[in-house]
Amino acid sequence: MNKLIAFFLLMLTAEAHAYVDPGTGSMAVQFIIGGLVAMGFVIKTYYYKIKNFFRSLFGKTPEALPGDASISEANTDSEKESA
Amino acid sequence: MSLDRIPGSFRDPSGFLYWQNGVLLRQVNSVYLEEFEHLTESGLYDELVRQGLLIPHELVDNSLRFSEDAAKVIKPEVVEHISYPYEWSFSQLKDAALLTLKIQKLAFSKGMTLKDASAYNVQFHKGRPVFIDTLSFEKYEKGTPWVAYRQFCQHFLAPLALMAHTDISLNQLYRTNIDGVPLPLATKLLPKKTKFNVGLYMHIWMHAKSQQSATEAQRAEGDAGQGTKRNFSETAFLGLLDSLQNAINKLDWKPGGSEWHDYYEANNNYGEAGLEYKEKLVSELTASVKPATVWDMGGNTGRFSRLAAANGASVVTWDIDPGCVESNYRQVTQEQETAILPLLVDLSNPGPALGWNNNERMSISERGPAELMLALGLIHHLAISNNVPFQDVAQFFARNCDHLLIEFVPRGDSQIDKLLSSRKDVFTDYEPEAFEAAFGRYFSILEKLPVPETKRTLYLMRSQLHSGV
Repeated sequence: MNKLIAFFLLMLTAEAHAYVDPGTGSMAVQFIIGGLVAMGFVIKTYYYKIKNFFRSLFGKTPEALPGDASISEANTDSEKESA
Repeated sequence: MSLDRIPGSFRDPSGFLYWQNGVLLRQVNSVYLEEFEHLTESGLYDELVRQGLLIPHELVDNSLRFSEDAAKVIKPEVVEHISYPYEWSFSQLKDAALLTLKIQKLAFSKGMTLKDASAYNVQFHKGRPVFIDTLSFEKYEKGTPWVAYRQFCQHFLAPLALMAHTDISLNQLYRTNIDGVPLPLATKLLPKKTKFNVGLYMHIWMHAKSQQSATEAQRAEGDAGQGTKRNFSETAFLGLLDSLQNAINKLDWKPGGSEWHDYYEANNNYGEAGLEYKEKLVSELTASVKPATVWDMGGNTGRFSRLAAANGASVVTWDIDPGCVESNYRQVTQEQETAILPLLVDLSNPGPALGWNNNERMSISERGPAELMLALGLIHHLAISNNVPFQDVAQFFARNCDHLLIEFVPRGDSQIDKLLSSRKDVFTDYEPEAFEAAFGRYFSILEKLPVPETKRTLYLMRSQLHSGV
């Protein structure tokens, strides 16, 4: 695990000119996590697309895709619970 | 002309907030102009405001600038009561976290990104969380990871995980850690079982390990940041945000079973008729003051706060019990109430002034005075449980409000008997005469009304410390 992180640290540049320190370790671990979650995210997006296709057949409104924030949905968690 | 820069907004070189003749303004510095224009031109600003996610502002004349490097000056809508994450309940913090992620997703879809993800960028405004830092957006440089990822995990994910899995009181770590909970500290406090939660494992455990390895690697290799360019794909970026959102959504904490949560149901000093009469009295006395702002101290789940709100006041319900604050907030969101802000406070040790020069976060007193304070069923907790002399209690209230509606709970009340049952009764002064004498030094007593069916008395007073009231 440590070797993997060290590898990414050495490969990493993503020279971030941020005024808040992004943290070298935090930038590096995103490459590992990004790699791990990307495939799952693609599958999830397709799953929602297929689900929405069937929803449209039954005249239901489509659900927001995982990466889509442009549709107004319940803004807060508690609103979702009450909905 | 009076100009007063707000001390909490000094970190970001993009601009800052200041008061000018009682008007809140934000200066946009020249260095940030391009990003600021992109926020508007990309349509992101309009979309964020349309969805109620970002505080709206209007552009004002540049002559109102604070300093020469101003490119633009904006006038944001004012948030009535500033609050901080160590005063929020679990769901308030969770909603603030989800708001931040939603904004980041929207920004990403418009070619921008959040350059910081501080919990202090979120405020509760008209009952809902809203992002207040209009200058937090920057153009996204393709192929780079999220610069605010570390801050998001420290400010939101780690505190929420600690509150859900270790102890609800751990949001108090914000008071000792101005930039959120350091992840290595979070891993020391979280139970090992959280390693089996994929989201928490990646974003807290693995992340903390990576930070520690990075420090060691930097020490060994010099600057570890210099190497070949690597590409962080768009899918990876969206996947990261989605994974953070899942991790946050899975965290939960339910109130109930806490000391004060079922107070009204379990408290025997009032029959339903007595309670209704007390409500009527409180409502009438509040209406007679016509306050714009009310602080309900020890307000439990906000039963009396709602009476004040019904009279048109904007109310902060302060309570010591995280369960009460949580229930109160859930009611606010479910009923879409706009005038109630539930916040956590331990009055024996209220939120202090914090941060650089003790100037970044305001103490509770700096956010007052309230036009009316309610202190119902509270005096015995301050005077007996916390041993504060009446005079000091009176002074505290007189400094923090213009009018005070306070209930005196005398000996013989079951709540007092309960408090004294486990300790030596050294409170010889705990009598109505001593109470009136002490409060009379700081207040003019306007009304004194017994509460039927109980031995309690309600007093309406006006502070003598604030002029022009």
